[in-house]
Amino acid sequence: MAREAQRFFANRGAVVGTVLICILLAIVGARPLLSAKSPDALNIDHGLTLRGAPLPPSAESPLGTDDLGRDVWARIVAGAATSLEIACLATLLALVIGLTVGLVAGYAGGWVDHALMRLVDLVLAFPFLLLAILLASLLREADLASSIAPVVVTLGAVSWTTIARVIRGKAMAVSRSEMIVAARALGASPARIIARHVLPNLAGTAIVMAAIGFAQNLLSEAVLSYLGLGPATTTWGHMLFEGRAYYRTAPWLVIAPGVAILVAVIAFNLVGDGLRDAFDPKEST
Amino acid sequence: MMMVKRLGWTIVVVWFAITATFVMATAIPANPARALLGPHSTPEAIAKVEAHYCLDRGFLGRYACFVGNIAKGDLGESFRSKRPVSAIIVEHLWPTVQLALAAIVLQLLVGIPLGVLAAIRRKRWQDHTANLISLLGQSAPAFVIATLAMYVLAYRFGWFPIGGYGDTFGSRLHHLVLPAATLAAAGIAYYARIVRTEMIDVLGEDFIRTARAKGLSERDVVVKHALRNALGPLVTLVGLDLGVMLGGAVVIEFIFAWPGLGRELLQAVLEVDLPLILGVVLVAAIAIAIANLLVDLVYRWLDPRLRDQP
Amino acid sequence: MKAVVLIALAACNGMDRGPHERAAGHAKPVDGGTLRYATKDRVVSLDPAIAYDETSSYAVHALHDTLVDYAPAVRGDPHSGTDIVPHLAERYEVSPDGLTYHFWLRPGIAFSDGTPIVAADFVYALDRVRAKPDSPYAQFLVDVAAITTPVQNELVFQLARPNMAFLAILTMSFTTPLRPNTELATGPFVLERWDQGRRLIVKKNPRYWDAASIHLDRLELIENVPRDVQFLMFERGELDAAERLSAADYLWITERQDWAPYVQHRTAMNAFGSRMNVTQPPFDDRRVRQALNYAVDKDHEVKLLEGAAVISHGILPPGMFGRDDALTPYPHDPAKARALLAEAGHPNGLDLEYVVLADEEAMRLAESVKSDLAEVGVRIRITPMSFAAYATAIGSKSGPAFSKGVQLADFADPVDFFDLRFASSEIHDQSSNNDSFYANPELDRILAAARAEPDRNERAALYQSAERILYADAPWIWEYHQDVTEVTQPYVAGYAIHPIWLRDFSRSWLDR
Repeated sequence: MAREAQRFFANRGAVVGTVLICILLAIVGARPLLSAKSPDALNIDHGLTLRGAPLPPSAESPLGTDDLGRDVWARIVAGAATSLEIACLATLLALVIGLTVGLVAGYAGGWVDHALMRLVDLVLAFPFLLLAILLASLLREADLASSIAPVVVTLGAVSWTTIARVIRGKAMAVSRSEMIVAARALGASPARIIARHVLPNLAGTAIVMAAIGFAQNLLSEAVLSYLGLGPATTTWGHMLFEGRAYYRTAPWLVIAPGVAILVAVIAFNLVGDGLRDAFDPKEST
Repeated sequence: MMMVKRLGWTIVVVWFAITATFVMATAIPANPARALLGPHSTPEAIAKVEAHYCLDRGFLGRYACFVGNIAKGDLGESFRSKRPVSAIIVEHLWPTVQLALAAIVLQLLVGIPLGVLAAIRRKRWQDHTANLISLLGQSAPAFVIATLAMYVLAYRFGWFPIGGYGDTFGSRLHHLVLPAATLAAAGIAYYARIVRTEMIDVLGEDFIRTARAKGLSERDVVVKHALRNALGPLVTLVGLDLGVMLGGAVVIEFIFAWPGLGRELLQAVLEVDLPLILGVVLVAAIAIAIANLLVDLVYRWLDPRLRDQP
Repeated sequence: MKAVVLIALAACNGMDRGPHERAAGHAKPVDGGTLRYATKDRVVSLDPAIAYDETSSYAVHALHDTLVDYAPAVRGDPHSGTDIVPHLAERYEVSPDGLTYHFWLRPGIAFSDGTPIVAADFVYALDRVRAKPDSPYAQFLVDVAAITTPVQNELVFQLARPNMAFLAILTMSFTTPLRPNTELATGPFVLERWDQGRRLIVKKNPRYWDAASIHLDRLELIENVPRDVQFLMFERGELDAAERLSAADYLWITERQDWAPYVQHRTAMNAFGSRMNVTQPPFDDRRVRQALNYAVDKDHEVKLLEGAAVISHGILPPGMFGRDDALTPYPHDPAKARALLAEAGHPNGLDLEYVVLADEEAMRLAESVKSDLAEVGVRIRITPMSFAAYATAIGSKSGPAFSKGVQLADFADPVDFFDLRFASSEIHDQSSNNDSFYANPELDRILAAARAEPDRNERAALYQSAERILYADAPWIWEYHQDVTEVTQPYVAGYAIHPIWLRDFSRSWLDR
């Protein structure tokens, strides 16, 4: 791991990305300290102009208010937590499914691999966003208890396939190594072999896929929210959705969440690239 | 023999697409009959519509009804507009195809040179700029780029129309620029990176050194030898890209009021217009399956080494 | 580099120039020109027996005329546009018992190809409606026992029960005369071209009986344009009108001196509130319903609608016959709300689900309601639903008990408000039009009497008492009536938003 870490921190982009992520996490962690205002507290009487327009940034509200008089900075901070949470859970879900499928396919080989990869192909027959749109609207009708569950499930269900493919390739390569072949011949149980020898070798790839997947899911949540299919809670994507008509009268409503999304996605992309380069220099630049 | 297997697989994919979409869509609890007739409807009128669409049958009954209709070439009627789904799809297919083709052309025409430039000017400012553009292209949500483009270039500067389709050939091209460009943005970024990677790899190979040693001009080395080899993987990408493209088209078509299949689908999903949803997703899946098949064939034809592989 | 920046800046400032073209200043209407407008949705159908949605009705109403229609709307006059005047009929007589409606057709009326319109054409159209299983209009004819044509140009309707709203029903486009297998027009315009889903163009119908009032050559309806894009196109002069401005756009344009005079708003025939299923606890207790009425601050909602709304006390909008204008809306009184809740046995408040259409504006207003209710201890969870799911769920007795209530009138008569939503005869277990499941024998009695009452003042008095009953019983939280807003180019003259038809450009003209 030390070798990989060294390579990672030598990469300027990766370092920048890491710093940005740390800042993001700090913001999420220090939430109560950063803003006294509640992100959900409407303030129609005083948070809007007499005619009902959002207030521009001021000493009171550093990023202004939105069309319901809510404090934008408080919402950005709250949105950070939710957007990151959604991306995290979705990526976790995708990772769990993708790892399992890829691992089993790569290790078992033969008809199991064939069948599982065909399954992956079938899911891939649907364009990513189309499937996401379908699932999101469906799950919304299903009226689940948590409001972020539909988005999480949608994104997870749609993004596991790339992970599965890549993991399968790696698992296959690892399974062909002499150590594994020998262990199998000696009759060691598959569970033991996988746990002891295969999984650790996949760790690197899994981490890389997780980082890249995270950025992708963050972006996808923003798109779904923009189309009105996202969760009703405060996420950056939802803020963009709510504020998009105000680009002329209240541009801060669009700039704030837009920049936040951009920065977060860039950060995770940089880190993801850095990790990929660190773990597998041959594939890199 | 292998062709048959490949064809058979495509059929499996299509069948799966139909069944999966149907299963997903029927899980929605809404009764579209009431939605279609409006709040003044009588129970009798609703019952008649339900019978017409087999809504009163159970799951298998509706599925059988649906498959039977497809066999007749009938994809049903849109709940909202009462028009045949197949007619709606045919009507809106061409705009989406135009958009997708234009975007692919742009991706190739802009992405490849960008990648080549980054590769040959590695580590210099062209490379860094190209990388930055790539990063932004892939990190900014498509709708942000689209909205920005529309607002700045169409509304403020007035260089392009604010959404719409265009009637004559010339005006169509004019209307096509912004939507195609924004749709291509992420792809350009992606292609550029791939080409850059491939080019760097290839430029490091022995035969390139040999070519240089032989005294060939740098341009010949790059274009005639390196590029040709680097383009191999791109062919696969173009085929797979269609799926992502159709997905991206939904957002772009929505923002630019481009009358394509993507926007129809979005409206259908928001209105829970079952027959239209099923029809569009089905057509999309079939189109992608066929596109993949064609791409596969082209790839094999280009690279004889793969002809014998399954 | 500097040059680039300068050019960019110049270009940037170019766009907020205001209207491109001013009115020429003609004193009298000028003939000619094409008026272009866009709609958010597409035209679903041009068949008067089927088309039910708003967008289709614009097209259908331009192509088809009826026996009677509403008077034109007048800008600035909130009572204009609801009186009924003869159109294809020259005159009519209603029998004292309200069971016979006798119409004499206007001489010389013809279809767009010159064929005379006869009474049998009306009968054909109405029979056709009754015969179609998916026509949403069949139920408007249930009271009609017989239609006869004693002479070619006379039409007699025989009703089984008196219905004072029948005349208003006859303004609806499904009553337009038709010929079998042809799509001839009887209205101010005739269809020129329809690229379905994209554009619909109609041109002036020279055979229209009132062709003298029609000045435009063409009307162009561009379909499927989102409202924010409509607004941008309007500003660039690509459209002559833009409807239902979003909150942001409305705020922006009403601040501009050069645009403000061309912005209209008109209270339409609608009512918005929060509907409750009065058979389900806790809404079965009147005190709870009243408490909620005191709890919601309607001024907040009006502010969120940029002032383009009027607080309501009941279901009848301003300008509607039978409205009790003396009734004042429930004031915002959180203390009283809490007291009533405690009295009803809910000292610790309530936890409720509130269903809303998954529409941005509705969600926004729901947030305001949520915040106000939270102040008195009523915690609501907002559940958005798509239109299809909503339509099914709300009309069901076991469906959501608390949701956004909307009434959009099809015709300008109290029957389309009261009877439809609060008469016990409209209660069904599924798809109930009376989705409050409110059953009050006294109200039913009043409504039945009013429906049959030929004396206008008597009828008004009956409806006013109905208003008072519903005010006190509060099956809804009475919130507001929303204005319809629209902005037109300076050269669009003779246009006013119509309370029922909304965007009726047929009698406008272009002052160029």
